[in-house]
Amino acid sequence: MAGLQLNNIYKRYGNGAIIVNDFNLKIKDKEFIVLVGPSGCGKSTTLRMIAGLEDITDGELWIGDRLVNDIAPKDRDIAMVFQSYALYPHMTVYENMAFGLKLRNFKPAEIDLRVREAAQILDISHLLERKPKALSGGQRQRVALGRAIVREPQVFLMDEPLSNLDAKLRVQMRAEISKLHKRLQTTIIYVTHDQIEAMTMGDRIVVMKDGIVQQADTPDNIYTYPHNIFVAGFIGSPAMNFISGVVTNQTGKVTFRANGIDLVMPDGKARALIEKGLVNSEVILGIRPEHILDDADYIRANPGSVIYTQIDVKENLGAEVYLYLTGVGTEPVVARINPRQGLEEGSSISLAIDTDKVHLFDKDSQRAILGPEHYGLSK
Amino acid sequence: MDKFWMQVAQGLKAQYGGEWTVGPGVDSGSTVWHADGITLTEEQEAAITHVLQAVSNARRQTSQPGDGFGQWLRRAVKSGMSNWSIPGESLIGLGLEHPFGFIWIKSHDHLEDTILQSLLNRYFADFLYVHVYQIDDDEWIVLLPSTKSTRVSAMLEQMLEHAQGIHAVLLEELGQHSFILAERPKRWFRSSGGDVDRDGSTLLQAIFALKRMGQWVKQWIPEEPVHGIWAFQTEQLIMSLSAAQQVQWLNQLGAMAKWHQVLADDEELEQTIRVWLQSDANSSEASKRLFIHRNTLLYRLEKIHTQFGLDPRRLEDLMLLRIGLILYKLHKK
Repeated sequence: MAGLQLNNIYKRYGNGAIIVNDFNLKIKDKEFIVLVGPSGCGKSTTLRMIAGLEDITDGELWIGDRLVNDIAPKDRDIAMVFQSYALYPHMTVYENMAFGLKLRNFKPAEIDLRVREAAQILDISHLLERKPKALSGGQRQRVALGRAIVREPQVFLMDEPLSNLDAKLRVQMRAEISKLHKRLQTTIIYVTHDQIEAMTMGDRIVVMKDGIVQQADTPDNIYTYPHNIFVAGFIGSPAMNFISGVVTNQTGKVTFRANGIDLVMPDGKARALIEKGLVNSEVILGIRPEHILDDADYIRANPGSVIYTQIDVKENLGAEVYLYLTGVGTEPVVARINPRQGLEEGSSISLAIDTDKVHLFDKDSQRAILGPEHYGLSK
Repeated sequence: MDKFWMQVAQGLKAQYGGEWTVGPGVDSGSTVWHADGITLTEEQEAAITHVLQAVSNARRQTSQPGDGFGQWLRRAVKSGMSNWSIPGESLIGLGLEHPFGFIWIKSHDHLEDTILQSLLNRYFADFLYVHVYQIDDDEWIVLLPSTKSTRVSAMLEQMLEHAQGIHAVLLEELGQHSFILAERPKRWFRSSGGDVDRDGSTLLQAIFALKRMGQWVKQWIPEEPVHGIWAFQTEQLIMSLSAAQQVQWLNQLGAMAKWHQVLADDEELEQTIRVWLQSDANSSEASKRLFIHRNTLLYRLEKIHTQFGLDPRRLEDLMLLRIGLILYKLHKK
C-alpha cells in the first residue's frame, strides 16, 4: 500500500493543447479518490499518467517514496481495471486470475492461495472453472477486478469500470467496489463521469474541467460548499438552480433581487456581502432543488424567503416530485418536494427558499463568494 | 507453449510427474516454469530453473522453428510489394496449411525485440500452432489457427475476443497500449498435390490492408483500440476508388466545402454521426455512449438532417451520411 503525490503535473500535446494543467494532489495511503468531470476534462489522461500509459510532460509523480516519472508501467506496482473488462477468452476464470502471477514466477501454492482468496472476496469461487463466454457482464467485471486484486498492488487504478454495465448492475457493483476497498485497505484512484458514483464511493472527490482541478474535497464538502459554479452545477441531480440578480441594501435588509424574487439574506451572509463590498453588485445565486421548501409553517415564518411561481411541468417520481417553475429569474427553476395534492401543471404555488442554504457566486470569476462559515447549520 | 517448450514440459513430466508449463517469461530472456500436482525440494527447483535458463539462452542463439518464415514475412512486408514467394521449407511444422486468422498489433511504444513475443507465447501456451512475428519496430502479426465452427459470426466473434484478450494482456502485463485489428480465418496458402503453394501475395495483400485500415480506424475511432477489419468493408470499397472519383462522390452528396464548414464548426456533430452509426441507430445506446440526454441526441440528429439534407433516422440517408463522412475524412485537409 502507498500514498501518491502529484506535483505540478502537466500534459501537453505537440499541437500546444494542454490536457492536464498544473494538477496537484496528495493522496493518502488507503484513500479512495474519485476523479470526476465531463468528457475531455483530463481525468482519464491523469489516470493514464499515473499508470505510466502516458508520459508526464512536466511535474513529479511519487508513488510511496519513489519518483516514478521514468519508471515503466509494469514496474510501478499498480493494477488497472478498465471499462472494457476484456478477459482472456481461452482461459478459465482461475487461469485468467492466475496468469499474471505465473508470468512473475510465483509458486503454484501462492498462486492458488491468492486466486481463491480473491474469488471468495468477489463471490466468484463457483465460477473458477468457467470460461469467460459462460459469464454475465457483471461476473466478467468481477473477474477483471480479481485479476487486479491477486497482484496485491500498491495502488488500484480504475477507469470507468462500470460504464458497460446496465443501470441495476452498476448500483450493485458500486457498493461492491466500496466494500472491496474497505476489505482490501488499499489506495484506489477511480475515474468516472458519473457524479453519483463519485459521491457514493469516494473518500475524496476531485472535480476537473478543461484539465484543471476545480475542487478536491470530501463528497459532503463538495456538495455543501462548492468552490465555483461549475462544481455546484456538476454535482447534484437535479442540478443546482442559478439565478442572476443584484444585491441591495434597503431599510437595513440585505436582499438578493432578481426577476420575481426578493430574498432577504440571513445575518451572516448579509454581513459578509457588506464587508466584501458587494452591495449593488451583480451576483449569481445558487439554490439546490431540495432547498426550495413547500412547508407551510416555514413559509409563514419566513416571508422574506417566499417566491411566487407557476408550475410549468411536474415530474412525479413516487417518493418525491420535481416541479419545473417559472416566474423566478429567467430560466426554469427546479424544486424537489414531497408529493401532495394540488400540485397541478399550470397552477400557481408559493414556496420558500431556505436562505441559510443559498450559494452566491461572483458573476465574472464564477467563484463562490461565501465560505463555509456563512452557511446555516440546519439541514 | 510452442512445440519446443511442450517437449521440454513432457520430458520434465516423465522425470518428475505432475503437469508442467514451461516457457519464456515476461522479461526478455527470462524463462519461467510451473509444476502442478507435485512437490519439489528447493534444490530441485533451483536446479530446474538453472537448467531451463541455460536451455533458453542456448536456444536464443540458434535458429528457431518458424524463424525462416518470420524473417521472410518481415522482409516482404517492409518491401511494400506483394509479389513475393515464400520459401517452402520455412512453412514446415507451422501448421499454416490449415485455415488461420491473424491479428495485427501496433504497439504505442517501441518494445524490446522479444518482450511481446515472449508474453504472447506464454499467453497462447495451450495452443499448438500460434505464431507471433514482428513485422516492424512497433508492429506484430499473430497467426491463430481457426477452430471448427460452421457459423461465420461465431468465428468472427472468437477472433475479436482473442484480439481483445491480447489488448488486455499487453496493457495489464506490459503497461503497453496497442491498437489491434483482426482478420477473419481462411486458408491463405492453397495446397496442390500435397505441396504448399509458395505464392505469398494473398497473405501480404491482407496484411497491407490491415496496416492501411489500421491507420484509418485509429483516426476514425481513436477511443476504441480493438476492431475486426470485416467491420470496415465500406471504407475499403471507397478507398479502392481513385481520389478524383472519391471527390466526385462527395460533391454529389453536398460540396466538400459544406461538409467541412459544418463539421469543422461543430465537432460534436461528427462524433454524433459516428456514435449513431456504431450504435446501429439506437437512440438509447447512442445517448449512453455520448453521455448525453436522449433529447439532446434527437436535437443533434435533427440538426444533421437540416444541415446535410440527409436524415440519420432513415436507413437510406444514414448510409449516404456514412459514405459522406468517410469521404470527408479522407479528403479533410
